[in-house]
Amino acid sequence: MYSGLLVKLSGCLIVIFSSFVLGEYFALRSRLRLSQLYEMKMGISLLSADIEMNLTPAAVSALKIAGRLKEPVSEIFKTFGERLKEGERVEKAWASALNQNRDKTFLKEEDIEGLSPLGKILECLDVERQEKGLEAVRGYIDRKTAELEGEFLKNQKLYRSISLLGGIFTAVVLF
Amino acid sequence: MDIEIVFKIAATGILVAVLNQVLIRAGREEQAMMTTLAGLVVVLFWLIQYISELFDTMETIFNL
Repeated sequence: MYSGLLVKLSGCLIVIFSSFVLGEYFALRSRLRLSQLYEMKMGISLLSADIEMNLTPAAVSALKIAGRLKEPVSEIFKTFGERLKEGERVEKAWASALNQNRDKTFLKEEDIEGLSPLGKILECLDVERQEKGLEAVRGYIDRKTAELEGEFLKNQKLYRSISLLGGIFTAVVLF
Repeated sequence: MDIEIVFKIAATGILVAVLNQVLIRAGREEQAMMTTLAGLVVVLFWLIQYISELFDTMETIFNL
């Protein structure tokens, strides 16, 4: 009798624990999305500064910056640099770099759409238009990060509560 | 009938109520409604057997 009860209790604990871990995973996803957006903003700022001030070719600059950023954002810049070295156009290279590495990141579809115009902006020969375009992309990232920071703590508590309660609910149903 | 079922239904009720409140305060009314419905379905699922037994017993008693 006691061994059966012990097995049931262990099963309940496993269910509750795995449910909690699932909730933590969802909370972690929003935190990582935020940090990857910051990383992306840093990369874009470094890229534009390097190209404009040091007059470094975009391919070389992208590969150099990839070494300074954390993964998986560095992979995007690395792929971008490699594609540019192969002779691909800037717009297409950026789009391929984003699409190829999007699954490695926690960036959402709206983030990818917000970052996509960067390729076209960098291809632009008019410096003033390029600066305005880069400002627009940085503005998007700033808005998104401000929004996410506000929501982050609230969402983290929500995911933790829901996962714990859901786990207990499942344990009660299965008991 | 097991007394266990009473405790299970009580625990489910409490958990569903708390989950409902947490989701409503987070602004997710639809998910709160779905949680309530899910709890209701689960409890009905447990009770259906006893309700069926009740009807069988009534049929036997009244020779219907």
